Amino acid sequence: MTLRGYILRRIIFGLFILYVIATLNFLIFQVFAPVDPASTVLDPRLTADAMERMRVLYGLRDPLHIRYLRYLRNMFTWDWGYSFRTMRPVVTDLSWRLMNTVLLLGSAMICVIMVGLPVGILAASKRGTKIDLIAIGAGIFTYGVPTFFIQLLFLLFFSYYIKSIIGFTLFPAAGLVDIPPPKDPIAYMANVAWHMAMPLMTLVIAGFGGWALYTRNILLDALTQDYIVTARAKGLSERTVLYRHALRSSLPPIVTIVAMAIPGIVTGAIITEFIFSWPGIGSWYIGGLQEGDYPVVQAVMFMYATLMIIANIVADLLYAALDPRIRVGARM
Amino acid sequence: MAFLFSKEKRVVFSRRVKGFWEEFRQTKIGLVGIALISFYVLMAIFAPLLATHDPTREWGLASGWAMPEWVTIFPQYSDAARTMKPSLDWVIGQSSAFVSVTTGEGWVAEYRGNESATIKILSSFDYPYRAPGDFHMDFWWEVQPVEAAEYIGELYVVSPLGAEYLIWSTYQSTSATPLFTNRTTAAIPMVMRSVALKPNILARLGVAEADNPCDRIFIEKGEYKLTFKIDFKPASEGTVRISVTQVIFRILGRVHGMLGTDHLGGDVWSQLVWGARVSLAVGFTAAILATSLGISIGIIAGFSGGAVDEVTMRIVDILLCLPVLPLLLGFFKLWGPNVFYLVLLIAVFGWQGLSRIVRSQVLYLKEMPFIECARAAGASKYYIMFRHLLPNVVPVALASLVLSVPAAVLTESALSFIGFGDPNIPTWGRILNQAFSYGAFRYLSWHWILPPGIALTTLTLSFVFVGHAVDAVVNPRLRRRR
Repeated sequence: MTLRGYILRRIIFGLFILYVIATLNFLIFQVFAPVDPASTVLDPRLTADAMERMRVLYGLRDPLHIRYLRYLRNMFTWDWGYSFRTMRPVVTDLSWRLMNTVLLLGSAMICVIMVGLPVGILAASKRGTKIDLIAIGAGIFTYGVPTFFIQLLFLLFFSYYIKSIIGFTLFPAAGLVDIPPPKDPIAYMANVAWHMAMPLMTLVIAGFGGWALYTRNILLDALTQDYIVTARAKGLSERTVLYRHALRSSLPPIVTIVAMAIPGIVTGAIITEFIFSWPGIGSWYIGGLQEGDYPVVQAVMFMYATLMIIANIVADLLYAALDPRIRVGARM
Repeated sequence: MAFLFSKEKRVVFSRRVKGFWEEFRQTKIGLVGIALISFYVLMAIFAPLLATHDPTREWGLASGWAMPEWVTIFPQYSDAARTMKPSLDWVIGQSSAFVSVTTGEGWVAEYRGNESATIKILSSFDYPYRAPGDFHMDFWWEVQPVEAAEYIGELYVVSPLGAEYLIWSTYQSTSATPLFTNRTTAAIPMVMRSVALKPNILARLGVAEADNPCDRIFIEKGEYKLTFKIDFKPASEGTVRISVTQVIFRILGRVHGMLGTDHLGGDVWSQLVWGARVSLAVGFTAAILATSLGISIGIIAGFSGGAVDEVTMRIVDILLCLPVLPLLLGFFKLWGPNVFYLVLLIAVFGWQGLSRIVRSQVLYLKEMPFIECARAAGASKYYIMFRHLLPNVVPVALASLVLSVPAAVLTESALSFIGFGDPNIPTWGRILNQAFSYGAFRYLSWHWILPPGIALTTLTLSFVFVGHAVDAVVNPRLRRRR
């Protein structure tokens, strides 16, 4: 199979998954557990007649198959309707919320990789020593500790306890910026960074261990290969062996896992955003679910799925591109 | 698995298990994990014995956000308020015309005549601690006959230094229609909660609405008095009976039990103990379900090949692409939060990884000579799958089983934590959710936040430890490396 055919096939398959997700959304929020948009308007003056008009306006009185087809068309053309809560287009809200989420989790991911990979490489190169043991221990520990518990601990000790002891806020407990936000752009950015510090730290602490362990294991795998023995036998320095030979051959799986982790920038934040009241996608999703704001919920889910599918395809392609041993057709 | 084998094979199997155990024992980390797991399993089994209270039904055991009782061994907390229920003996404080009968849980007073009068009936109790979090008094208030009098009834707390604090009042005037005239009995249930005093009473106490009146009333230690004061004006000649009965007076302390209380005064320790039961049950059932799904689907897909294989592997691909947590939340919206659905959903979304591994293992195994022998001997498809293939993939699945328990526990607690858990069942995630939502951080209730989190962490870690140890034993690649 050619590469183009493979990509085409993956894309078609991805579209199919999107279709499945969209249908699930439709089934959950409009067929099995329908939310009446008229009931989300809490106005006592709303008459039954007006409510009925509203339902007609929202297209809820049309036959189900028409609604389904229209829904699918709207989903796939990024026409995601209006939020019941804010009465603004979902896409408008999505854009700034997406920015907040990507800001937090994008920087978290960069930091995690910048900490995790070196630790993993260090542990692999000092295999069996104390440094290795510490790295493994940290890895297993951060794998086992639930992220949200680390975040609650930070919230308790670095925000509330410190505030009660020294009397001023070291790290703010919630939000994106102060209210009211500072006028000066530099002060604004500094304020956002200050609010972001604690969620960012917790995400790095909770996340770097897994990356370190993974890198270490991949690298160790490479270091036990015969060509490493050959390289060492040639008298190359340990540094060259590690960075030129072992690291290069273990790059493909590492890059793949980086690519696979990219949708986590958007999807991995539901609980973090909930804890720190970060106005991003995740907290929006929870709020939407709790208040029956299904245009929001559908849009977020659809976007999550799109991102995951794209990341999966990119990861596969990257793997094939980086590792000449993998032939595209071989794994199908 | 023993039932799958004949007698001879059972011996072989038991030897294999013994061999596994011998090797497993060598790994220290695995033993630590086993010990921790047993600790939580015992906690779950003996939850009814260990729990001091019913976590779902008992509240108001102490004031909200109470600290654990053992903090009183530290000097700065030694006189922290305990929960107490002082026994009250009522005596007449002032009045001559009254004939009064006092009982242990209330008093009855009778008056004859048509003069205005003020009576005071009081009771004292000793209070040796610092200010409590809350105190409340429930009683039945009755004046008979109903229309016979105009009165103002008030309840005061009198401090050892003699300061009087009004905490409750009621009144009736003959001009206004009396309350509850159509009742068969004139007794009215009265509820006084110090944390829910009316604004006018708070204003008379000089306490801001955000503050706790206890901090103003219980400043000193010593003998406090409860005083009922009734300003009384009979409408006509005759006998009037005033009674306060079924008095329940409690002072809710700021320390309680092993781990303090939540915002409603519920026992955190009991919640924690019962939470172990739920967490382990959810973890084990979901893990066993997911693992058996993964094994059977993997075996069937790998052994059948062809269209079955293609379809299953595409389903696996779809499942690997789905955003699981948002989807779970969506399903909860559909079905309502129920722990059984949760287990099912975790299993349904948790088998795909294992089935891939099992399938590849089966693809390799089915070309082996012993399968061909079995086929030649006329073994049916299912016989081969479950008698020959299954025992060979079990070791691979074992580590996955062990590691999917904490994954399920964490999924459950994460869902409960963001408020999508079963509201009727105490789980560790729900304790954290309540702590997060109801001011545990504002009141620095470490005893409410830390225990469930530490329990979750240690439970997860113990399974991770055991998983790694199992992996080291059954995974030949890792074994060679050692």
